[in-house]
Amino acid sequence: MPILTVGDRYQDVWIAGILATLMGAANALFLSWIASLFDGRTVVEFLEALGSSLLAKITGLIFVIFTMHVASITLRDFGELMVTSFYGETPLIVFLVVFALLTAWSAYAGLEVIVRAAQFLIPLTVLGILISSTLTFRVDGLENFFPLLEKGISPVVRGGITQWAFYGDVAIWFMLLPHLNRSVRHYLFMPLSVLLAGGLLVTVLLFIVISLGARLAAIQTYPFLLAVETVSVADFIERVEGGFLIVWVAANFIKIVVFFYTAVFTMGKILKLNDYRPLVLPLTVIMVSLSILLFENYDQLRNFFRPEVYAAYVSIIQVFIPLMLIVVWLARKKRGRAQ
Amino acid sequence: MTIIVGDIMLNQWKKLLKKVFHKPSNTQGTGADRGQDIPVSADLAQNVACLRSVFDRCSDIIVREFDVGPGISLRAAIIYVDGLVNKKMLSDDLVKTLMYEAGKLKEKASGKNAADFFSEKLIAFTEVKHQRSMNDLVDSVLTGETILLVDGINSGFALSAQDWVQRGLQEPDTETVVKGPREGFNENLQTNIMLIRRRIKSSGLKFETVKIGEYTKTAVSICYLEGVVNPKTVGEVKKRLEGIKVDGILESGYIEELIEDAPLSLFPTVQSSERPDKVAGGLLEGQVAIMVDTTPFMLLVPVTFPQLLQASEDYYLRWPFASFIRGIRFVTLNIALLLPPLYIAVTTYHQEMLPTPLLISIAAAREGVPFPAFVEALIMETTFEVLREAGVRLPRNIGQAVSIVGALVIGQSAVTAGLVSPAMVIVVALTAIASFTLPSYSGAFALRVLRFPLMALAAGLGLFGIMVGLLAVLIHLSSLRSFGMSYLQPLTPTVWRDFKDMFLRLPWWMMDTRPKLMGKMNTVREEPGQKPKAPKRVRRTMK
Repeated sequence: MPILTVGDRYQDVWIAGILATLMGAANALFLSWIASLFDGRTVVEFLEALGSSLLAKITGLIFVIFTMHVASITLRDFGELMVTSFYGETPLIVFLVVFALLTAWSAYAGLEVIVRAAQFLIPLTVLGILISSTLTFRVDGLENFFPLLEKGISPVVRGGITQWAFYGDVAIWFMLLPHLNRSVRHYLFMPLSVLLAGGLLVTVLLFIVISLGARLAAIQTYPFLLAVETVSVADFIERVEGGFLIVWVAANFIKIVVFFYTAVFTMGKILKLNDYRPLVLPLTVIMVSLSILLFENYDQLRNFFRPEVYAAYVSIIQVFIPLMLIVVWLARKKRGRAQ
Repeated sequence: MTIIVGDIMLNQWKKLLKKVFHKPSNTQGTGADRGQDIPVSADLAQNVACLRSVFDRCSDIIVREFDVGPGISLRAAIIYVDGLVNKKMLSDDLVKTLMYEAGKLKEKASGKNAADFFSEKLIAFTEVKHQRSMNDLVDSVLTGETILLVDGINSGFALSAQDWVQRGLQEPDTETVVKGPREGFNENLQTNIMLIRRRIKSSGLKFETVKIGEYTKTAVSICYLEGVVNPKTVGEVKKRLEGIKVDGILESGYIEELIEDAPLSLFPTVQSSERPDKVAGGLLEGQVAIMVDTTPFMLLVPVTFPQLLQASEDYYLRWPFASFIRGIRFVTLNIALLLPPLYIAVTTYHQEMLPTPLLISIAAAREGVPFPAFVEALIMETTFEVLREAGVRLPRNIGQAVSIVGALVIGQSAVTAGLVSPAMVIVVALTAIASFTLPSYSGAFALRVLRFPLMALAAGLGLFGIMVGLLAVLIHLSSLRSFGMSYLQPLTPTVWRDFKDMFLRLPWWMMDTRPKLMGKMNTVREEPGQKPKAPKRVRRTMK
């Protein structure tokens, strides 16, 4: 998400990235501990087993709304990037619909297929990001890092919280646990994946600061895109934004598809359907409509990602629901012991 | 609520579809009539009459009656198909023996043990079967065996004296190699089995033959290496073959289409090869071969997508060169699929991606071209596909004419006339050459066809369109399975130890395990630590 997060005008954004990653990993550790209580069930089934089916339904519904919402926002964000940076004359809806159809088909094929495809795509995506960021390297750009902590620690913390919010995505594992291989008993992969993603984020942030400098980066809508546009190696490798586009499509595809699948799957669980597939098409329509209706323009979308808004919003799924789960679990445990 | 309604509607749709595509269940088979089975009687005349009526108006069926002699009066008859048997062997070893030598034996055939007496003392053939039913006799005759009927014996002898004209063992046209064995399969199942057996001299190598096809009764042999193959795969192959009920099998392609996992997919989930060394290699890795009579193309299952990019020569060249060629092949795979779409996308949408001098020269070349890049590419690609098809269908000696027309008329003059740009000709030519480097014919076919929708997507949406197309292909490939194996294995699910035969072909002394899943019964392929070392040179010390 480097595109969205180099919000504030300071060169220490990478410190914020490290901070966010550590916070996210701690958060994910906490989530993985809770996930281990589920014993391979979804959060909905877990709550039902604890005897509170109303709570289960509400939690499930929150999950559906959250994942649908994030999927729609990501879709819109992706579409906006396409329209503003690559395809000036193509209407936004074309990208939304084409991508949503692809998403729907993948969701229809099931999680196994999605994960297989992701397993294939993620190494390519990571490689693409690493190569394209390495290409932006300039020796004289190293000066851009100084002075360190010019404005004190508070903007760093603020930026850290913004970025931390994006790591809350691991919480969707609460719904996907039954798909996990039975042999995986400890859920340490959750903090681990946060650390890996964080490493990538910090790398990208470092290279953005090197190639553009903090001031230029901060006024850009898509700083990383500008960074790769400035690439010129040996007068031959120039403007590698085509490669960036490919990576960006792949990365967004994975994210949207996983969130959308989680939404569809959770909806199926709430309604106690044997097969979630009839839900795919209606929810696709909802996703596309939402992605258009939620924001009037791109500034509104960016506004949504301010720390006061987005971090608070994500806290629902990342902090409050897990806390609620613990409270319910402890209460049931105590009652069980009393009897 | 809406969801429930949607579900009901879906069900109704399914019902409607079922109604439209409903076919009455056909329990009567495909129509090849097999009369009621009657046992072979002891009366020769009756048997011969029966066979004559079955083979009524079949001028290739020869029925020859004669007396067994000398000195005893016993009628006998042989029945065979003209052209499928070795006549010299029949007349020398069978008819002559029975007519001139049989009577000289001291013991005489009598009563119940007459049949054994004949097969043990008189019929000098290595393969003799006793057939007691008339239908089996008829089948034997049709497969080329010779039937001997003797008066008073209520069974027929099926003698194996098959011999027919067959093509020699030539080098296969579809999979040529520079280094490696030159012989390929031919159209005779026995010969093909022999070619495999000569390579794998183990009693674990099994051939199980079944007959498929109501009229053609084509022999289909399931071949596997016991102890290496996954027995589940063999069971699955047998089950699917048993399910085939058709009138005829003329080529292994029939079987391929009737047993493949993804009948609607562009990608082949069954591998076919006419190289015995390739099939033997597959058997050693735990694949099952399905060998079909009357065709040189053998089927191998299960197959994964990376395997379609492996040629048998990869294993005969030294490993650095083999790995290099693998690398080239991955590049050409991408060129064959993506170069025309990329050209369209870049010239239509993403001109900024090209370095300026290159962009200027392409733009200058395209200046006089009246069509958009997509139409231009479509014209050239279609022309190439037409030329290619014409090249296959043409009589050999007209082939030259087509290549002249193709190269001169379409390439040169289309550019001179300003219909297409020279850059487009280069793109199409590169694509064509690249698509010929892929070892699997049907795999290359999938790419050939996929190129067109990708070109359309590139024309409509540029690089984004290509990416969407590729993602769709990826999703499709991830969902494919071939006889229980994921199609993209070992890429995903990732099996690291199988990577040694993937992008690179590591040296043989490192390929110590068989591919997972396929050869999971016996994963160790070779003893470890076989890296060759030159013996230490002993320094001669001067004294």
